[in-house]
Amino acid sequence: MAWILKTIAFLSPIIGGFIYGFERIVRARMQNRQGPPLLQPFYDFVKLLQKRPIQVHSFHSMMGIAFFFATWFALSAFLCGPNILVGLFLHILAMAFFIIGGFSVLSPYSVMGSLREIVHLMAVEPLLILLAVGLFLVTGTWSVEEMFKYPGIPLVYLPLVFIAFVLAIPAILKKSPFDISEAHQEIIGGPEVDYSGFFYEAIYTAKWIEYVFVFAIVFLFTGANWWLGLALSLIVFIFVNALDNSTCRTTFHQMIKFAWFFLLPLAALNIFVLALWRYVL
Amino acid sequence: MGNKMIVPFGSQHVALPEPVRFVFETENEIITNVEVDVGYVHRGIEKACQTKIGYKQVAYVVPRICGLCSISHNMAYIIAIEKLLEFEAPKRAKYLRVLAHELDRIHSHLFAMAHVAEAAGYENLVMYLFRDRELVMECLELLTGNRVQFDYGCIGGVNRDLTPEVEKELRKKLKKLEERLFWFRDVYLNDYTLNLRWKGVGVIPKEMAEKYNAAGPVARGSGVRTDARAEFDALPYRELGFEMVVYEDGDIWARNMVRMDELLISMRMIWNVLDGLPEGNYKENVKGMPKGEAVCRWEAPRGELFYHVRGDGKQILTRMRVKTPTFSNIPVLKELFIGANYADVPAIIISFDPCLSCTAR
Amino acid sequence: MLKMFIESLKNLFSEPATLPGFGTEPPKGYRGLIVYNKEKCIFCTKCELVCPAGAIRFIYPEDGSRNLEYKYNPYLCIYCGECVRECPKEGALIQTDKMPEPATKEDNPNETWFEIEKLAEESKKKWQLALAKKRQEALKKAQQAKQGKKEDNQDKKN
Repeated sequence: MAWILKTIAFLSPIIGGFIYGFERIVRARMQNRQGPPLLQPFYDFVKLLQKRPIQVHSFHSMMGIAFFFATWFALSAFLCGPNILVGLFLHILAMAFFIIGGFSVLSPYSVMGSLREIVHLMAVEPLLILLAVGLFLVTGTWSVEEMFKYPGIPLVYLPLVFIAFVLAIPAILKKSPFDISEAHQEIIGGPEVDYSGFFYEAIYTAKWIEYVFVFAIVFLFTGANWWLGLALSLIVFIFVNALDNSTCRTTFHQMIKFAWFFLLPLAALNIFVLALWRYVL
Repeated sequence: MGNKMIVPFGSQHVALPEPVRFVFETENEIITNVEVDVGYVHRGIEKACQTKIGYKQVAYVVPRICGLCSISHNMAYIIAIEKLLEFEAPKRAKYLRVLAHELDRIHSHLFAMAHVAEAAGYENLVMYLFRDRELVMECLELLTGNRVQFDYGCIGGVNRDLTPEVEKELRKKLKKLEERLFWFRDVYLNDYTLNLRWKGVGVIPKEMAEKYNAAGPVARGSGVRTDARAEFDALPYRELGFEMVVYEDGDIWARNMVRMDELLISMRMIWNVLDGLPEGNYKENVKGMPKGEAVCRWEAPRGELFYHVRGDGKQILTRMRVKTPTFSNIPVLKELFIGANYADVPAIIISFDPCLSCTAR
Repeated sequence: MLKMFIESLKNLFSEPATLPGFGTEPPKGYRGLIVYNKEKCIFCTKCELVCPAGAIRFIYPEDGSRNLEYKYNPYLCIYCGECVRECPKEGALIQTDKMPEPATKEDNPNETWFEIEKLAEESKKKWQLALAKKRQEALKKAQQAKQGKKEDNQDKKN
């Protein structure tokens, strides 16, 4: 089992690239048009490497490359490490690199985008920590490798936590209705607006790794029955894309209200009832 | 969160369809001051029409001021010249002019609504609206021979006639279009996230719209009853079933609903034209030279268009002046921005439906 | 929101609306290229006067006769069809359905058209001079013929 996880963590840019390419075709078909070819992210990679990069200053470009490597390292720590919480905190560190890179430039769009990216973190991270706590309550271990060997199905004990997580996926992957930090009609790309060429490629690839991160968490909800996990992730994939195509963008006040006053109590309620049922009754 | 920032919403921007330049001063993402710069597309068309080009050929220059409301300029100029020459077009020509003009209004309003949806971040609706706008462009191509920039009117009537095969094709396509329009009206009226985003945003109270002389759907969305089709009868609108659409709210949602309802009324007028087209000539010869002054007020898709023409008996006019609807709406825009959120700025600008090629001729 | 959700799922399994990508035909009555028939033309030059873009120019011959040469620029033309409507002879100018061919840098379309415009201006001036000279000579001949006839009559009387 350990070597499967190690291979996935090592090849995660390529796997993420395939998932992202497939998602573009699915999104295009839902809009009744023909999408790009499946290998389009890799063609973008080759094209971006040939462009001449224009740097603002070297700290800004270094933050871009640090974001890419930190995300890859966070995913490896999440999948192969001893503790799930370490992986989540390293994910926060990787986002912090991105945010600091956005703040270090004088462009107003970049600064506003970084402020909105902090709002994204504030909305999503408490939910991920509650999710880790819930999984500990069900499986009894903190290590991801042991969680994948659990014979039961944690989904049966944590339905509300799963629903809250699926509704928070748009905020992690920057899709409608919660794609506020990179709203390309309002602030033209947010914190990634000043990267070009090879450094933009680093940020683009880091987004593919986030897809692997999100779908690994979906697989965690089904323990060792990975056939069920595959079916569940396909359903979640189509649901998230259809939700992307049927809502418009909200403001960040509405996103914070939705995350803190609806999703968080939902997950907390589920864990509270589960803990009562397990340890008191 | 934040301090004073100066944000340019410049002449090149991803969300801006027209070259207009705003410079905002914001504090905590709320706007305190604004500066406007119009005039990036000035081409000197009025001067060219007064020096080099004869009055018959100006009818071909003028629709090229704008790409979307091109036929409004054409028709308004021709009606102004016909008033000077004291000529009245035959009835069949008038009905055909209404047909072309209402088809143009449909395609312009669909374009405007797709842009407003894109500014809200709703790309799926944009793709569906543009797919259905193709039906209207095909209808226009069958009728006039061109998809954009059709020079359909001429002094004395229209250029081409409506043959029976073309009428059959038009009916088929318009039937498909009407079902899709009812579907879109339902989406715009009942969608939950669009209501969250647009209700109560960018409100223009009725007194401000009357004080600053707004025009078009901007004014009709705030409760002001003004429409050039009801006040002046250059074309037979009243007998074709025209009704004015007015909403009281004044926000972005109300302006979108005004455009949506105008689309349905235009569809009804087109069916009436196709059913009751009279027989007769579609073009007649006009004699004489333009001498004197004439004024024509016309309803373009964006508001009221105003043409003033003066000649003194020669081939070249002495003065031609155009006032476009977007130019009247810019003072209201400046007043509206102060105190608004920066995140709503693209949505507000695009809900006004600016057409800068008309404004800076 | 629910309507768009269901419509997206339906569209996932149906054919996209943007196929085929290219290769469609223009419909009947499309405003296309103008075609000129030299046999039917009566050289009244009304089409040159009425064209809004100045895409038709005539080159005048040297000798003052009415045998003009027609030059047309498909890249200045706006395909409005005014020349077809103004032409008094049916069939001399026809508007077809075809679209114009694109021009490349080797064809050099702008330079060749500027040369043709200059040639048309100069040849028109020369033709007007030649025509004026012809008319003067014809007038002199007519006057001389009249004088000759008068003298003949006087001679006969005498």
